[in-house]
Amino acid sequence: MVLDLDRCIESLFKRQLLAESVIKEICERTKELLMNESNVVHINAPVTVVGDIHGQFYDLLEIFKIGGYCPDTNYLFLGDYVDRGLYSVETMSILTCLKLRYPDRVQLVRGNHESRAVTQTYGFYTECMKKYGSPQVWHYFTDLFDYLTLSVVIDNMIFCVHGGLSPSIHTIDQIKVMDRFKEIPHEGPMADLVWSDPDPGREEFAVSPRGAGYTFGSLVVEKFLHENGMDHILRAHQLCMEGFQVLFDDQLSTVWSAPNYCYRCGNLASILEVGVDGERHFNVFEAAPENERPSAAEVQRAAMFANGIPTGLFSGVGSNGAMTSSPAAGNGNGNGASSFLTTAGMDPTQDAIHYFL
Amino acid sequence: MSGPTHKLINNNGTKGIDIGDWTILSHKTSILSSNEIDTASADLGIPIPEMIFGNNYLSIEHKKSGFKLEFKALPALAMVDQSSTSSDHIKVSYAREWFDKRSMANQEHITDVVKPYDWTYSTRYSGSNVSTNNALEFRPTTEESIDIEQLKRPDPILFYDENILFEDELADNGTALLTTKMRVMPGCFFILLRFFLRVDDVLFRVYDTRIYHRLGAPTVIRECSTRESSYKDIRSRIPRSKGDDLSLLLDSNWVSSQLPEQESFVESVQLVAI
Repeated sequence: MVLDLDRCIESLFKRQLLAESVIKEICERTKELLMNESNVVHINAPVTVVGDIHGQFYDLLEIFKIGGYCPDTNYLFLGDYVDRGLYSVETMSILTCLKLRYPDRVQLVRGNHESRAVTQTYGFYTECMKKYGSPQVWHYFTDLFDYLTLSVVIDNMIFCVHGGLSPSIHTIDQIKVMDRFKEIPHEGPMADLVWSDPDPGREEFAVSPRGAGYTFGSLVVEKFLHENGMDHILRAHQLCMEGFQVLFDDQLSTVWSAPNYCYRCGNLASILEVGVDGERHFNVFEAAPENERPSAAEVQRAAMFANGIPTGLFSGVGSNGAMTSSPAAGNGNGNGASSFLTTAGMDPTQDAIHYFL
Repeated sequence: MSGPTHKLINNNGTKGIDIGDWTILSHKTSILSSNEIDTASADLGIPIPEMIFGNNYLSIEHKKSGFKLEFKALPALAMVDQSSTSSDHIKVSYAREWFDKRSMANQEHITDVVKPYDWTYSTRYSGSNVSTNNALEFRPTTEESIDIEQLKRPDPILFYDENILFEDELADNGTALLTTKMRVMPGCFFILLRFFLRVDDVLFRVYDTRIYHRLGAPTVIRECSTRESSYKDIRSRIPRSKGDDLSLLLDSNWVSSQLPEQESFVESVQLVAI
């Protein structure tokens, strides 16, 4: 198949979906590319690091606007591309195309949402079904997820991963010898890298009260950095109201790139720009204007997809079905007709919903 | 039906309605800032849910008697179990597997557990009674109940509101969600405060608080109910036509309609003028 990647990328920027056969082809080719990547990919600055996106495609476009477009800007994405937002398909499609088009300028790390089990529950599977009429595209992408690398090191100094550290991993070399080409297991080092969280109130590892999952503390961070000759850990995975959070005396940062998360949290987001001298700058931004004022067509589409996808795009729908406007994300947008709260499936008239019992 | 006069309110993130002797307000804003979260967490002694709308509220106030009921996230979280066994009741579905494999990998020495708390954030919170008059308390009643027949009638809705108090994704193991829905009709108003819990592959749980008042009546009625069932049970009720599509499990209304009720009780408060 002749593949015009530039044309694909252009279409995706206009939010036009790629044909199923094209998705199949780009996934196949990207897998071949990723197969040769180590579990720890070494890159150099300058690079812009992006945290969780969760299908918020308009905000990804915002990121390119403020951070620069490929290949002018090098990008490192830390995972969680899909689920929860309304445009996981477009998001994953464009990132795959960009990786294939500029393999040395785009790095894609695996997040805990890049998994078959999680995407079946949190929206990506449902979105693929609705946009393509079959689960094929979901299969192509979830197979691709198995190939995504687990970590990246910038200038031999900054260790980048989606979740955090693992009690089974003390050195980078231990990560390199893992077999990553599989579904994320429930436990073990591969699970820990995409699931664990820092706990600034502790020094060591601790087990989550949920019965699975670790938190790690200050001594763990210090030891890991010392052991591996690095000075910073960069990760995503946790929602930050201000878009980022710096912990452990600037030894660890969380970068969060989904503003107004789930279209109702009203949080800021950020991307982290790492300069050639190792300087780190958080570029903070708000939700894209399109997220607040979708067109009538978008509202229609959103209403169709609202059932089962836990997001709320618009602040309120009057009893006559007209949309009420929502305030700008900056001063708070904590409302949102979450789909949890809708009763009817595809019923376009909102009145029935209001007569809850 | 022409009920008491009413006036809609819409002011800087606060919407509501003045109707008869009542003022009903719903306030929405963004989630708490990092500082606010640190303070709240220190006060409560537990980690705060990820999406904490700590400044959102729904309130109803009866001016004549001074009766006032508020629905807010932080008081709801204050009722989350923090006893020593609180984190033991429910574990994620793969906890056993995780524990076993850890033993094999010699990670048993990591026994330190974050201070126990009910990580599902289950709360039987049924509102904060902030009435100025202490006599305005809810008391059990067997004589009164919510007039469902009136609520089924398609009376015009003068004011409708949905609000969210908190949500947590349980580290991608499900959802814990506390929300309010309210509607005001010319003859009555009705509130549903719902705590909804889904732990993937483990269970579903719903704690509902319903508040009903017929405008002009001397009482406000509150009904609290509990529903719970296994994830497997509810999943088996998804229509076969859906195939592998699990999206219905994210719809709390559909899930609640499938959950068997376990217990419920009714209370009421007399709106006596001071």
